[in-house]
Amino acid sequence: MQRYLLSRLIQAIFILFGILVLVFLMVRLSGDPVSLMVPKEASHEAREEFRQKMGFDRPLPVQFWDFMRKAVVGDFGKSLHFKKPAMPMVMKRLPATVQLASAGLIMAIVIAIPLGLIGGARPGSVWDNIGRALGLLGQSVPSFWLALLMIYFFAVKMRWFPSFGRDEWKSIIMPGFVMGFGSMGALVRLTRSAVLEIRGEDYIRTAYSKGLNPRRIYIRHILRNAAIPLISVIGVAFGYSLGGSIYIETIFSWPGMGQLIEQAIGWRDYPLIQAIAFFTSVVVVVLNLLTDVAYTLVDPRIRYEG
Amino acid sequence: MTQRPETTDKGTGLTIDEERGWRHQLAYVGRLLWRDKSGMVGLVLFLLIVFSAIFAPLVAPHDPLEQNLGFSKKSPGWSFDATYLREVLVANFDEDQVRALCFNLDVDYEGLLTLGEGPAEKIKALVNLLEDQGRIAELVEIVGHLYPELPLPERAFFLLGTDSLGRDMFSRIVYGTRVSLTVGFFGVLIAGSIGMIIGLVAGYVGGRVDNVVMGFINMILALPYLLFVVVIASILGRSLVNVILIFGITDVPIFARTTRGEVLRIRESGYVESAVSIGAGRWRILFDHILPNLIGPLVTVATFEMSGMIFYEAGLGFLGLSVPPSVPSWGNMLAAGRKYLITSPWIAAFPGFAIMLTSLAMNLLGDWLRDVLDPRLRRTQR
Repeated sequence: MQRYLLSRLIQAIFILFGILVLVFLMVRLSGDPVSLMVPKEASHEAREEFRQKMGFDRPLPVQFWDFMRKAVVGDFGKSLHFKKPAMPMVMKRLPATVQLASAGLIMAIVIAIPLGLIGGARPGSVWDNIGRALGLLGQSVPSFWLALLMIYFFAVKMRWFPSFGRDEWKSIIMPGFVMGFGSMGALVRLTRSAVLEIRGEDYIRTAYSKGLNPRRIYIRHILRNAAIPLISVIGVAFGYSLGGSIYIETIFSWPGMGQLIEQAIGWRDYPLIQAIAFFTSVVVVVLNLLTDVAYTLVDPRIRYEG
Repeated sequence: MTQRPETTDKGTGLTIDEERGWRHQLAYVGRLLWRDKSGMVGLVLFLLIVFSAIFAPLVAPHDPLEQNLGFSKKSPGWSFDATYLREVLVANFDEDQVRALCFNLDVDYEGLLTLGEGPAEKIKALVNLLEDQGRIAELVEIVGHLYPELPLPERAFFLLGTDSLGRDMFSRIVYGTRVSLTVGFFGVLIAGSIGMIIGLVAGYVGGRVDNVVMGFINMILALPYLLFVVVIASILGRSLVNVILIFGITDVPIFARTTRGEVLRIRESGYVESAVSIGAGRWRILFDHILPNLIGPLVTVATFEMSGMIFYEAGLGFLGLSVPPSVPSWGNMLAAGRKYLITSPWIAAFPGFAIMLTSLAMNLLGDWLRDVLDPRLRRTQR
């Protein structure tokens, strides 16, 4: 097991290195990073001054080495808009986004897993149909549209929830729900199919043939085993939420990383964008790693193999 | 004619033709589709969407780009040209007539909020108020009744209402299918062709090549996809070609991984082993066994990925990062509608509904294709 985890750790480090390279190349995709970051109406002198200040006049390998050397210690330079170091600003936005993503995930789990469990146990029942519909809608309803519809009905018409901000406990209900909606669909589908699959396994048939109480079989054998694949989905869903936060935080004015990146794009503040992109990637890669570890700890079939 | 053995499948209750002509295969697939109602719904919806994209000029009742501020933000249904109506009233009505009109409409004349003095200002305020209340038709009726000699304003029908510039929402949504399907189709075409070649090489050559390719693919798949797509779109700038390229390239890993997985599975299968044992060469195995068996899984993945691209294109449009704002695309329309959400919710609601419907159709179709085209699943069905 330790060897497996070690190899996963090394793999994660390689992935982060690759992401750094990508983040470096990204701003050079359009040819000249200066024209990307400086307003179109800026004079030639201003451009050249900016080029020198940012070090874009040096040879590419030198720029690359300089970027990597600083990036590994979290230094992505100063935000062009705020004139302050970029990375601490990103970190400051993390709690709000994590709060939102967690709220969404909790709502998704509370709604989706019971539906999936019932659906898997009784395929074709009313609850199964509701769950399957949710599974399908979770994939096809755009979050930004759902957010606007919810604001129209529940904030403007019904006045149940505030339509933006992060001031009271009610504020998190709508953005959290929208954030969790996509994961909800995936979670229902997965829980359902996991239960269906496990129901067909040999050990379940054996348990029934031994004359065990069906309720006991359901709880001890089916539920426990169905929980294993869910761990990985929950990990992935959390990472996915970080991307989705761009829309949801923008629409609901939620002061997290998603809102920051949307604003940074408007300001052409690419050092800040690079910091956000890398930081979010680190969070996702670490989450994936943790998911793998959790998976190994829970599933004895993996634990004893490595 | 020789007798054909026929069996009846217990699971689906279908009669299965053992003769493997493509016509019979097609008939078989058709029957499977007929049985699976959700797949049928998906296919019909998808065909309708493709139809409206191709024949957009015939389907759309109005010009999607034609602006008319007189029809600005009209709710779905019949509407009158409010600007024209206002001009006619201003030109012909004095203060007493406006008072009488207000009395008939049950509106408080003194309470009308105006910027300046005089009946002209009152008329503007009255028309604006009635427009907000959706009572323009009532106004036209009363004016027509009291003053039959006045010219009536133009009347037009907007199935899904109009946007802030008075453009027909339905026509714009119909033309929007063109953007969505173009992005989806070419994106999948590019990603699919590159991904298939990479996957074939990785899976068939194997060894170190495979390790390098898979390492790279795993790295890309570990990225927060949406975030990188948004950032790259902001760097490259708004254009249809850029959007297609972004999806066409970022989606390569999915196709490469699927192809590689299938190649490995097919290579290990019994029929390839027997083909090797009777002396079939590498190329023959590739063309006779591997490529035909790749079609099913790749078509399925392509359906889901196309749906995803349409979804993400709309998302980019919503952030103002997809096609230029002058082009009617669903994401652009939604972004424009967000500003008028409170007073005119239909401007944002209908494009979003179109995105949902398209995505739903393609997901249903994809689920069904996965069941039918995957030879493994199909064998178990038989």
